[in-house]
Amino acid sequence: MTNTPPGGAPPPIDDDTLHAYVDGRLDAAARTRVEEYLAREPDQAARIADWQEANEALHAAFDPVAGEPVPARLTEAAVAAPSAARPRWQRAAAALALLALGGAGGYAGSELSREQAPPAMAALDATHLADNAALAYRVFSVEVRHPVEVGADQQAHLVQWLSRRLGTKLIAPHLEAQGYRLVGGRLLAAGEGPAAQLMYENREGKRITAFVARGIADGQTAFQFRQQGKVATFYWVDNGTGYALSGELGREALLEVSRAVYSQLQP
Amino acid sequence: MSELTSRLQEHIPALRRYARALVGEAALADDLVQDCLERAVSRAHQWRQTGSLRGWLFTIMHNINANQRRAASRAPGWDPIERAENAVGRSGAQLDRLALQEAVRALALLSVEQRQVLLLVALEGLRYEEVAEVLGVPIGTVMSRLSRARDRLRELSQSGGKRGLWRVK
Repeated sequence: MTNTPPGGAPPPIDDDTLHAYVDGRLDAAARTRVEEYLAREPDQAARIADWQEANEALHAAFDPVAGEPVPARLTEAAVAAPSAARPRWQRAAAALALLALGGAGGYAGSELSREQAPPAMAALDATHLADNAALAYRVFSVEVRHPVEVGADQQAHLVQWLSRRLGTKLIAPHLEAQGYRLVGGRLLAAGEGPAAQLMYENREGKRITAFVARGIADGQTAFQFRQQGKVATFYWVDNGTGYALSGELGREALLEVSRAVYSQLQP
Repeated sequence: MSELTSRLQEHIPALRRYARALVGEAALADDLVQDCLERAVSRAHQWRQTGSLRGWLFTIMHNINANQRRAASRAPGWDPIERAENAVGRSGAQLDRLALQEAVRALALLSVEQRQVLLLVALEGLRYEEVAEVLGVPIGTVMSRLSRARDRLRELSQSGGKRGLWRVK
Protein backbone atom coordinates (compact mmCIF):
# COMPACT_ATOMS: atom_id res chain seq x y z
CA MET A 1 0.00 0.00 0.00
CA THR A 2 2.96 2.32 0.61
CA ASN A 3 4.89 1.54 -2.56
CA THR A 4 4.81 4.85 -4.39
CA PRO A 5 5.01 4.41 -8.13
CA PRO A 6 7.73 6.45 -9.84
CA GLY A 7 7.04 9.58 -11.81
CA GLY A 8 5.10 11.62 -9.23
CA ALA A 9 1.81 9.74 -9.21
CA PRO A 10 -1.34 11.56 -8.01
CA PRO A 11 -1.94 11.44 -4.26
CA PRO A 12 -3.62 8.38 -2.76
CA ILE A 13 -7.40 8.26 -2.64
CA ASP A 14 -9.06 8.36 0.77
CA ASP A 15 -11.45 5.78 2.21
CA ASP A 16 -14.49 8.05 1.86
CA THR A 17 -13.96 8.19 -1.90
CA LEU A 18 -13.36 4.45 -2.07
CA HIS A 19 -16.68 3.83 -0.30
CA ALA A 20 -18.43 6.21 -2.68
CA TYR A 21 -16.88 4.25 -5.54
CA VAL A 22 -18.11 0.91 -4.21
CA ASP A 23 -21.57 2.36 -3.53
CA GLY A 24 -21.92 3.87 -6.99
CA ARG A 25 -21.92 7.48 -5.76
CA LEU A 26 -19.17 8.86 -8.01
CA ASP A 27 -19.49 10.55 -11.36
CA ALA A 28 -17.65 9.14 -14.36
CA ALA A 29 -14.55 11.31 -13.96
CA ALA A 30 -14.10 10.42 -10.29
CA ARG A 31 -14.71 6.75 -11.06
CA THR A 32 -11.95 6.82 -13.65
CA ARG A 33 -9.55 8.40 -11.13
CA VAL A 34 -10.33 5.66 -8.63
CA GLU A 35 -9.91 2.94 -11.22
CA GLU A 36 -6.53 4.34 -12.24
CA TYR A 37 -5.52 4.43 -8.61
CA LEU A 38 -6.63 0.84 -8.03
CA ALA A 39 -4.70 -0.28 -11.11
CA ARG A 40 -1.56 1.11 -9.45
CA GLU A 41 -2.32 -0.24 -5.96
CA PRO A 42 -3.04 -3.98 -5.98
CA ASP A 43 -3.53 -4.13 -2.19
CA GLN A 44 -6.22 -1.48 -2.34
CA ALA A 45 -7.73 -3.12 -5.40
CA ALA A 46 -8.04 -6.42 -3.49
CA ARG A 47 -9.62 -4.56 -0.57
CA ILE A 48 -12.16 -2.86 -2.80
CA ALA A 49 -12.95 -6.12 -4.59
CA ASP A 50 -13.72 -7.67 -1.19
CA TRP A 51 -15.94 -4.73 -0.25
CA GLN A 52 -17.85 -5.19 -3.50
CA GLU A 53 -18.11 -8.90 -2.94
CA ALA A 54 -19.54 -8.33 0.53
CA ASN A 55 -22.15 -5.97 -0.98
CA GLU A 56 -23.21 -8.68 -3.39
CA ALA A 57 -23.30 -11.32 -0.67
CA LEU A 58 -25.58 -9.09 1.44
CA HIS A 59 -27.95 -8.60 -1.46
CA ALA A 60 -27.90 -12.26 -2.36
CA ALA A 61 -28.64 -13.24 1.25
CA PHE A 62 -31.34 -10.70 2.02
CA ASP A 63 -32.96 -9.46 -1.20
CA PRO A 64 -35.12 -12.60 -1.27
CA VAL A 65 -36.64 -11.42 2.03
CA ALA A 66 -38.00 -8.37 0.21
CA GLY A 67 -39.53 -10.68 -2.37
CA GLU A 68 -41.36 -12.85 0.16
CA PRO A 69 -45.10 -12.36 0.56
CA VAL A 70 -45.70 -9.77 3.29
CA PRO A 71 -47.32 -11.32 6.38
CA ALA A 72 -50.86 -10.08 6.92
CA ARG A 73 -50.06 -8.74 10.39
CA LEU A 74 -47.66 -6.25 8.80
CA THR A 75 -50.02 -5.17 6.04
CA GLU A 76 -52.62 -4.59 8.72
CA ALA A 77 -50.22 -2.75 11.01
CA ALA A 78 -49.63 -0.23 8.23
CA VAL A 79 -53.36 0.38 7.88
CA ALA A 80 -54.90 0.18 11.32
CA ALA A 81 -54.29 2.01 14.52
CA PRO A 82 -52.27 -0.06 17.01
CA SER A 83 -54.06 -3.23 18.09
CA ALA A 84 -55.76 -3.74 21.42
CA ALA A 85 -52.74 -5.68 22.65
CA ARG A 86 -50.79 -2.44 22.74
CA PRO A 87 -50.45 -0.47 25.96
CA ARG A 88 -53.33 1.90 26.45
CA TRP A 89 -51.26 5.08 26.28
CA GLN A 90 -50.13 4.07 22.82
CA ARG A 91 -53.71 3.58 21.69
CA ALA A 92 -54.58 6.96 23.12
CA ALA A 93 -51.68 8.53 21.27
CA ALA A 94 -52.87 6.92 18.05
CA ALA A 95 -56.38 8.22 18.59
CA LEU A 96 -54.98 11.70 19.16
CA ALA A 97 -52.96 11.48 15.98
CA LEU A 98 -56.07 10.51 14.04
CA LEU A 99 -57.98 13.38 15.59
CA ALA A 100 -55.21 15.76 14.73
CA LEU A 101 -55.35 14.65 11.11
CA GLY A 102 -59.13 14.86 10.92
CA GLY A 103 -59.49 17.97 13.04
CA ALA A 104 -57.57 20.24 10.72
CA GLY A 105 -60.19 19.65 8.08
CA GLY A 106 -59.49 20.91 4.59
CA TYR A 107 -55.97 21.86 5.52
CA ALA A 108 -55.09 18.31 6.51
CA GLY A 109 -56.72 17.06 3.35
CA SER A 110 -54.58 19.18 1.11
CA GLU A 111 -51.45 18.23 3.06
CA LEU A 112 -52.28 14.58 2.61
CA SER A 113 -52.68 14.88 -1.11
CA ARG A 114 -49.27 16.48 -1.19
CA GLU A 115 -47.89 13.37 0.52
CA GLN A 116 -48.98 11.39 -2.50
CA ALA A 117 -46.54 13.14 -4.78
CA PRO A 118 -43.26 11.28 -5.19
CA PRO A 119 -40.64 12.73 -2.83
CA ALA A 120 -37.92 14.43 -4.82
CA MET A 121 -35.00 13.54 -2.57
CA ALA A 122 -35.83 9.87 -2.32
CA ALA A 123 -35.89 9.10 -6.03
CA LEU A 124 -33.54 6.56 -7.53
CA ASP A 125 -31.33 7.89 -10.28
CA ALA A 126 -30.90 6.08 -13.57
CA THR A 127 -27.41 4.78 -12.77
CA HIS A 128 -28.68 3.17 -9.59
CA LEU A 129 -31.50 1.66 -11.57
CA ALA A 130 -28.91 0.05 -13.85
CA ASP A 131 -26.89 -1.17 -10.84
CA ASN A 132 -29.99 -2.66 -9.23
CA ALA A 133 -30.94 -4.32 -12.50
CA ALA A 134 -27.48 -5.83 -13.01
CA LEU A 135 -27.39 -7.10 -9.44
CA ALA A 136 -30.85 -8.63 -9.71
CA TYR A 137 -29.74 -10.25 -12.95
CA ARG A 138 -26.67 -11.75 -11.27
CA VAL A 139 -28.65 -13.04 -8.32
CA PHE A 140 -31.58 -14.60 -10.15
CA SER A 141 -30.32 -15.58 -13.61
CA VAL A 142 -28.27 -18.38 -12.04
CA GLU A 143 -31.32 -19.82 -10.30
CA VAL A 144 -32.13 -23.24 -11.67
CA ARG A 145 -35.28 -24.21 -9.84
CA HIS A 146 -36.73 -20.85 -8.85
CA PRO A 147 -35.62 -18.24 -11.36
CA VAL A 148 -39.00 -16.50 -11.10
CA GLU A 149 -41.83 -16.13 -8.61
CA VAL A 150 -44.60 -16.41 -11.16
CA GLY A 151 -44.06 -18.37 -14.36
CA ALA A 152 -44.95 -17.45 -17.93
CA ASP A 153 -47.70 -20.09 -17.82
CA GLN A 154 -49.60 -17.56 -15.67
CA GLN A 155 -48.65 -14.57 -17.77
CA ALA A 156 -51.93 -12.68 -17.37
CA HIS A 157 -51.73 -12.97 -13.58
CA LEU A 158 -48.04 -12.06 -13.60
CA VAL A 159 -48.55 -8.88 -15.60
CA GLN A 160 -51.60 -7.86 -13.58
CA TRP A 161 -49.87 -8.49 -10.26
CA LEU A 162 -46.67 -6.60 -11.13
CA SER A 163 -48.66 -3.75 -12.70
CA ARG A 164 -50.66 -3.40 -9.50
CA ARG A 165 -47.60 -3.39 -7.26
CA LEU A 166 -45.71 -0.95 -9.46
CA GLY A 167 -48.75 1.25 -9.93
CA THR A 168 -48.22 1.40 -13.67
CA LYS A 169 -49.41 -0.68 -16.57
CA LEU A 170 -46.66 -3.16 -17.29
CA ILE A 171 -46.41 -5.22 -20.44
CA ALA A 172 -44.28 -8.29 -21.03
CA PRO A 173 -42.57 -7.59 -24.37
CA HIS A 174 -42.50 -10.33 -27.01
CA LEU A 175 -38.92 -11.21 -27.82
CA GLU A 176 -39.44 -14.36 -29.86
CA ALA A 177 -38.05 -12.59 -32.92
CA GLN A 178 -34.82 -12.12 -31.00
CA GLY A 179 -34.85 -15.76 -29.89
CA TYR A 180 -36.04 -15.23 -26.31
CA ARG A 181 -39.16 -16.52 -24.62
CA LEU A 182 -40.61 -15.29 -21.33
CA VAL A 183 -39.74 -17.43 -18.28
CA GLY A 184 -41.70 -15.33 -15.79
CA GLY A 185 -41.15 -12.56 -13.31
CA ARG A 186 -40.73 -11.49 -9.73
CA LEU A 187 -41.28 -8.50 -7.48
CA LEU A 188 -38.19 -6.84 -6.01
CA ALA A 189 -37.30 -3.66 -4.19
CA ALA A 190 -35.24 -0.86 -5.68
CA GLY A 191 -34.49 2.30 -3.76
CA GLU A 192 -37.71 3.53 -2.21
CA GLY A 193 -40.17 1.37 -4.02
CA PRO A 194 -41.08 -1.84 -5.75
CA ALA A 195 -39.47 -3.07 -8.94
CA ALA A 196 -40.38 -5.81 -11.37
CA GLN A 197 -38.01 -8.24 -13.00
CA LEU A 198 -39.05 -10.19 -16.08
CA MET A 199 -36.79 -13.01 -17.17
CA TYR A 200 -36.34 -14.35 -20.69
CA GLU A 201 -34.40 -17.32 -21.93
CA ASN A 202 -33.19 -18.43 -25.37
CA ARG A 203 -32.83 -21.96 -26.66
CA GLU A 204 -29.29 -22.28 -25.33
CA GLY A 205 -30.56 -21.40 -21.87
CA LYS A 206 -28.97 -17.93 -21.98
CA ARG A 207 -31.00 -15.54 -19.89
CA ILE A 208 -31.70 -11.86 -20.03
CA THR A 209 -33.80 -9.79 -17.65
CA ALA A 210 -35.95 -6.71 -18.00
CA PHE A 211 -36.06 -4.60 -14.84
CA VAL A 212 -38.72 -1.92 -14.36
CA ALA A 213 -39.03 0.61 -11.54
CA ARG A 214 -40.94 3.85 -11.10
CA GLY A 215 -39.96 7.13 -9.52
CA ILE A 216 -36.62 7.43 -11.33
CA ALA A 217 -35.15 10.88 -10.86
CA ASP A 218 -34.25 11.56 -14.47
CA GLY A 219 -37.56 12.23 -16.20
CA GLN A 220 -36.31 11.20 -19.61
CA THR A 221 -33.11 9.69 -20.92
CA ALA A 222 -31.85 8.16 -24.13
CA PHE A 223 -30.45 4.64 -24.14
CA GLN A 224 -27.48 4.36 -21.84
CA PHE A 225 -25.06 1.51 -21.46
CA ARG A 226 -23.31 0.12 -18.42
CA GLN A 227 -20.95 -2.85 -18.19
CA GLN A 228 -20.28 -4.46 -14.80
CA GLY A 229 -18.05 -7.48 -15.03
CA LYS A 230 -19.71 -9.77 -17.52
CA VAL A 231 -23.12 -8.20 -17.14
CA ALA A 232 -24.12 -5.61 -19.72
CA THR A 233 -27.10 -3.32 -19.15
CA PHE A 234 -28.94 -0.95 -21.46
CA TYR A 235 -31.26 1.38 -19.61
CA TRP A 236 -33.51 4.33 -20.23
CA VAL A 237 -36.09 6.42 -18.43
CA ASP A 238 -39.47 7.37 -19.78
CA ASN A 239 -41.72 9.68 -17.74
CA GLY A 240 -40.06 8.65 -14.51
CA THR A 241 -40.35 4.92 -15.21
CA GLY A 242 -36.98 3.25 -15.64
CA TYR A 243 -36.31 0.22 -17.80
CA ALA A 244 -33.11 -1.81 -17.80
CA LEU A 245 -32.20 -4.81 -19.93
CA SER A 246 -29.37 -6.92 -18.50
CA GLY A 247 -27.57 -9.97 -19.74
CA GLU A 248 -24.20 -11.56 -20.35
CA LEU A 249 -24.42 -10.53 -23.97
CA GLY A 250 -22.38 -8.48 -26.36
CA ARG A 251 -23.32 -4.84 -26.59
CA GLU A 252 -24.79 -5.10 -30.10
CA ALA A 253 -26.90 -8.16 -29.32
CA LEU A 254 -28.26 -6.55 -26.17
CA LEU A 255 -28.93 -3.31 -28.01
CA GLU A 256 -31.04 -5.18 -30.55
CA VAL A 257 -33.16 -6.69 -27.77
CA SER A 258 -33.41 -3.34 -26.00
CA ARG A 259 -34.67 -1.67 -29.17
CA ALA A 260 -37.31 -4.37 -29.53
CA VAL A 261 -38.43 -3.81 -25.94
CA TYR A 262 -38.43 -0.06 -26.35
CA SER A 263 -40.52 -0.12 -29.52
CA GLN A 264 -43.11 -2.40 -27.93
CA LEU A 265 -43.49 -0.08 -24.95
CA GLN A 266 -44.44 2.84 -27.18
CA PRO A 267 -48.19 3.41 -27.37
CA MET B 1 -54.99 8.52 5.70
CA SER B 2 -55.17 6.09 2.81
CA GLU B 3 -52.41 7.90 0.87
CA LEU B 4 -49.94 7.41 3.67
CA THR B 5 -51.16 3.87 4.12
CA SER B 6 -50.52 2.92 0.53
CA ARG B 7 -47.09 4.52 0.65
CA LEU B 8 -46.28 2.60 3.84
CA GLN B 9 -47.14 -0.66 2.10
CA GLU B 10 -44.50 0.02 -0.53
CA HIS B 11 -41.81 0.18 2.11
CA ILE B 12 -42.64 -3.01 3.97
CA PRO B 13 -40.45 -5.28 1.79
CA ALA B 14 -37.36 -3.13 2.34
CA LEU B 15 -38.09 -2.73 6.06
CA ARG B 16 -38.37 -6.50 6.40
CA ARG B 17 -35.12 -7.03 4.52
CA TYR B 18 -33.25 -4.56 6.72
CA ALA B 19 -34.76 -5.89 9.94
CA ARG B 20 -33.95 -9.49 9.01
CA ALA B 21 -30.35 -8.60 8.30
CA LEU B 22 -30.16 -6.54 11.49
CA VAL B 23 -31.58 -8.94 14.07
CA GLY B 24 -31.16 -12.26 12.29
CA GLU B 25 -34.39 -14.08 12.99
CA ALA B 26 -37.52 -13.80 10.85
CA ALA B 27 -40.11 -13.60 13.63
CA LEU B 28 -38.15 -11.07 15.68
CA ALA B 29 -37.45 -9.02 12.58
CA ASP B 30 -41.13 -8.91 11.65
CA ASP B 31 -41.98 -7.88 15.23
CA LEU B 32 -39.63 -4.97 14.76
CA VAL B 33 -41.24 -4.06 11.43
CA GLN B 34 -44.70 -4.29 12.98
CA ASP B 35 -43.73 -2.01 15.88
CA CYS B 36 -42.23 0.39 13.36
CA LEU B 37 -45.35 0.49 11.16
CA GLU B 38 -47.67 0.93 14.11
CA ARG B 39 -45.62 3.78 15.43
CA ALA B 40 -45.51 5.36 11.97
CA VAL B 41 -49.30 5.19 11.68
CA SER B 42 -49.76 6.64 15.13
CA ARG B 43 -47.33 9.46 14.38
CA ALA B 44 -48.43 10.15 10.83
CA HIS B 45 -48.69 13.84 11.65
CA GLN B 46 -44.96 14.05 12.35
CA TRP B 47 -43.88 12.86 8.97
CA ARG B 48 -44.81 15.77 6.71
CA GLN B 49 -41.97 18.00 7.78
CA THR B 50 -39.24 15.42 7.42
CA GLY B 51 -39.51 14.64 3.73
CA SER B 52 -38.30 11.16 2.86
CA LEU B 53 -40.74 8.55 4.11
CA ARG B 54 -38.12 5.84 3.85
CA GLY B 55 -35.63 7.77 6.01
CA TRP B 56 -38.34 8.47 8.56
CA LEU B 57 -39.29 4.79 8.77
CA PHE B 58 -35.69 3.66 9.21
CA THR B 59 -35.28 6.28 11.93
CA ILE B 60 -38.34 4.98 13.77
CA MET B 61 -37.09 1.42 13.45
CA HIS B 62 -33.66 2.39 14.70
CA ASN B 63 -35.12 4.08 17.78
CA ILE B 64 -37.36 1.12 18.61
CA ASN B 65 -34.51 -1.33 18.19
CA ALA B 66 -32.17 0.78 20.33
CA ASN B 67 -34.79 0.94 23.10
CA GLN B 68 -35.33 -2.80 22.96
CA ARG B 69 -31.64 -3.51 23.20
CA ARG B 70 -31.39 -1.15 26.15
CA ALA B 71 -34.22 -2.95 27.92
CA ALA B 72 -32.53 -6.32 27.74
CA SER B 73 -35.48 -8.04 29.36
CA ARG B 74 -37.63 -7.26 26.34
CA ALA B 75 -35.22 -9.01 24.02
CA PRO B 76 -33.97 -12.06 25.90
CA GLY B 77 -30.96 -13.85 24.49
CA TRP B 78 -30.58 -11.52 21.56
CA ASP B 79 -27.92 -13.42 19.68
CA PRO B 80 -27.82 -13.11 15.92
CA ILE B 81 -24.93 -15.55 15.55
CA GLU B 82 -27.16 -18.38 16.66
CA ARG B 83 -29.67 -17.35 14.09
CA ALA B 84 -27.54 -17.16 10.99
CA GLU B 85 -29.05 -20.36 9.63
CA ASN B 86 -32.55 -18.96 9.84
CA ALA B 87 -31.72 -15.53 8.56
CA VAL B 88 -31.07 -16.29 4.92
CA GLY B 89 -34.23 -15.62 2.96
CA ARG B 90 -36.17 -18.69 1.96
CA SER B 91 -35.91 -18.21 -1.76
CA GLY B 92 -32.17 -17.72 -1.28
CA ALA B 93 -31.98 -21.43 -0.70
CA GLN B 94 -30.92 -22.24 -4.22
CA LEU B 95 -28.00 -19.88 -4.21
CA ASP B 96 -24.88 -21.12 -2.54
CA ARG B 97 -26.57 -21.43 0.79
CA LEU B 98 -23.48 -22.30 2.78
CA ALA B 99 -21.54 -19.33 1.44
CA LEU B 100 -24.44 -17.04 2.28
CA GLN B 101 -24.74 -18.42 5.80
CA GLU B 102 -21.04 -17.76 6.20
CA ALA B 103 -21.58 -14.17 5.11
CA VAL B 104 -24.49 -13.77 7.51
CA ARG B 105 -22.47 -15.23 10.35
CA ALA B 106 -19.68 -12.76 9.67
CA LEU B 107 -22.24 -9.95 9.57
CA ALA B 108 -23.48 -11.03 12.99
CA LEU B 109 -19.95 -10.71 14.36
CA LEU B 110 -19.87 -7.00 13.63
CA SER B 111 -20.89 -4.59 16.35
CA VAL B 112 -24.50 -3.45 16.05
CA GLU B 113 -23.31 0.05 15.17
CA GLN B 114 -21.14 -1.22 12.32
CA ARG B 115 -23.85 -3.57 11.09
CA GLN B 116 -26.46 -0.79 10.98
CA VAL B 117 -24.26 1.49 8.91
CA LEU B 118 -23.18 -1.25 6.53
CA LEU B 119 -26.74 -2.49 5.97
CA LEU B 120 -28.25 0.95 5.45
CA VAL B 121 -25.54 1.79 2.93
CA ALA B 122 -24.89 -1.47 1.13
CA LEU B 123 -28.24 -3.25 1.37
CA GLU B 124 -30.73 -0.38 1.49
CA GLY B 125 -28.82 2.08 -0.66
CA LEU B 126 -29.22 5.10 1.62
CA ARG B 127 -26.94 8.04 1.01
CA TYR B 128 -24.30 8.61 3.70
CA GLU B 129 -26.05 11.80 4.87
CA GLU B 130 -29.33 9.90 5.18
CA VAL B 131 -27.62 7.22 7.28
CA ALA B 132 -26.22 9.93 9.56
CA GLU B 133 -29.74 11.32 10.00
CA VAL B 134 -31.33 7.93 10.63
CA LEU B 135 -28.77 6.97 13.26
CA GLY B 136 -28.42 10.45 14.72
CA VAL B 137 -24.62 10.54 14.40
CA PRO B 138 -22.22 12.82 12.51
CA ILE B 139 -21.36 11.81 8.96
CA GLY B 140 -17.70 11.30 9.96
CA THR B 141 -18.87 8.60 12.35
CA VAL B 142 -20.86 6.95 9.57
CA MET B 143 -17.80 6.84 7.32
CA SER B 144 -15.44 5.49 9.97
CA ARG B 145 -17.96 2.83 11.00
CA LEU B 146 -18.35 1.89 7.37
CA SER B 147 -14.59 1.46 6.94
CA ARG B 148 -14.37 -0.65 10.07
CA ALA B 149 -17.36 -2.76 9.07
CA ARG B 150 -16.08 -3.47 5.58
CA ASP B 151 -12.53 -4.21 6.67
CA ARG B 152 -13.75 -6.43 9.50
CA LEU B 153 -15.93 -8.44 7.13
CA ARG B 154 -12.89 -8.79 4.93
CA GLU B 155 -10.81 -10.19 7.78
CA LEU B 156 -13.59 -12.56 8.73
CA SER B 157 -14.00 -13.86 5.19
CA GLN B 158 -10.26 -14.44 4.95
CA SER B 159 -9.89 -16.11 8.32
CA GLY B 160 -12.88 -18.29 7.42
CA GLY B 161 -10.61 -20.23 5.07
CA LYS B 162 -10.17 -19.81 1.36
CA ARG B 163 -10.47 -16.51 -0.41
CA GLY B 164 -13.59 -15.63 -2.31
CA LEU B 165 -15.73 -17.48 0.17
CA TRP B 166 -18.79 -15.36 -0.53
CA ARG B 167 -18.56 -15.24 -4.26
CA VAL B 168 -22.11 -15.43 -5.52
CA LYS B 169 -21.46 -15.06 -9.21
